[in-house]
Amino acid sequence: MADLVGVHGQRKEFKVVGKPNLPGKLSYAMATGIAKFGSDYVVPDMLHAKFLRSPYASARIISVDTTKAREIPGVVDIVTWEDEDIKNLSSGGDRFMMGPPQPFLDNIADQEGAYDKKTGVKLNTNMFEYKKPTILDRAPVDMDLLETRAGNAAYGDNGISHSLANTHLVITAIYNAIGKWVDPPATPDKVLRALGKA
Amino acid sequence: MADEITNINRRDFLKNAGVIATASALGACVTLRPEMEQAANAIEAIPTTLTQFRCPVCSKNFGSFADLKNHFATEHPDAVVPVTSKLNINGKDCEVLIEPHWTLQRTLQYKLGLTGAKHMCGRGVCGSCTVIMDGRAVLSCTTLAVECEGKSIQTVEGIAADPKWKPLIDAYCKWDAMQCGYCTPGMLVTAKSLLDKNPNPTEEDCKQALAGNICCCGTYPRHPTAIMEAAPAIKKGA
Repeated sequence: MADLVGVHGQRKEFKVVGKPNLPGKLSYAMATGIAKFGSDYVVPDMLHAKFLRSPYASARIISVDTTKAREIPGVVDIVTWEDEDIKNLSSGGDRFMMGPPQPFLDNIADQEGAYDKKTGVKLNTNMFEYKKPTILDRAPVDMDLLETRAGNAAYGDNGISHSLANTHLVITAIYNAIGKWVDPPATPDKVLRALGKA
Repeated sequence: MADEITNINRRDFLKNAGVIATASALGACVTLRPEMEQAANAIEAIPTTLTQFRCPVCSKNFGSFADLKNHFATEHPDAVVPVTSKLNINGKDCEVLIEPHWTLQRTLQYKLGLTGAKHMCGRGVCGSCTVIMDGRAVLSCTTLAVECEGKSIQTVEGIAADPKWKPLIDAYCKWDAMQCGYCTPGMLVTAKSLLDKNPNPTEEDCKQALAGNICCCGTYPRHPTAIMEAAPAIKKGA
């Protein structure tokens, strides 16, 4: 059987994680393909948008030639960051698609971003300029093993992306594997020390 | 109205026939869940013949395919002329008007109203669009619809509407083998394809079969559990 109780049966005390659940309200709809997601809706004469991005990371997009694309029958419109309407929409036009950087990263990770007004290319990409506190800046945190109802993985985290986002889940995983607590950041030398091998 | 009544009667007949057939096989009555009935209804609602020929460029309607072709010759000489294609989806023969480059996934969603095969990566990487074609699990996002003529295609709706596979869907829901649920139909179709070939799969068999299906929510450990739990009931009911 799949190791749902965590680390090959060592975590017997789990009461929720790894146990069957009452099906959620949408479980059957999702399993049978009946559930409608946003992309499943089709309406008559629906227009489709195609996002074009640079195939190269951190490439400087100087211009986009849309003449050939406009010649394709059925194409209604093409917008780039150079269009006046788009500039008005996005507070100056330097933070929009097709050239300028991703707005999400802008808001979440970086409040100090500086952008080239003409091309939208980010000028300060050095990670040391991020003003958000890192794990090292935080006060000591007490760790408790938690279970959540929605957890699909052995430690109750919700998804792969969640486990990547939460350092403490990594610490918990190490604790489950070696039986010793390691304070973050969990570096190899700390793990070896906890095991008495360094 | 007459059509609606006919449809309902036919649908009820099919549903009852399916239940009776399974009941006689299992020796017990299988009640389909409302969602499974909806899946059966979605199959029932697939249009079988073409009555309108709509121009995908300018949305004008025509009464025949010849008229549409003439319209393209005069109005859109540079555009690709649509084609008609005959498909067999979940045991039902149907005819669709599509553009030659349309994938099977797009045809299922846009022309037949079947949303079980999900569009995710669009390049044959994630497995969300898996369907069974002539007994083989294939990716409908990298299969052209025009290639599928004369082939028998089963989607997740066809599996859901078949009482034989109810234990698999029940097990998937019981074990929460889904979170956002977008990849789940593809996983379920792959699982069905596995159980067709191997009625008693091991965890390793399940992992191997599902290797081409990607789940961002990380529901992986639940799938082998659900499949292995459902396998004996499905085998018994077969």
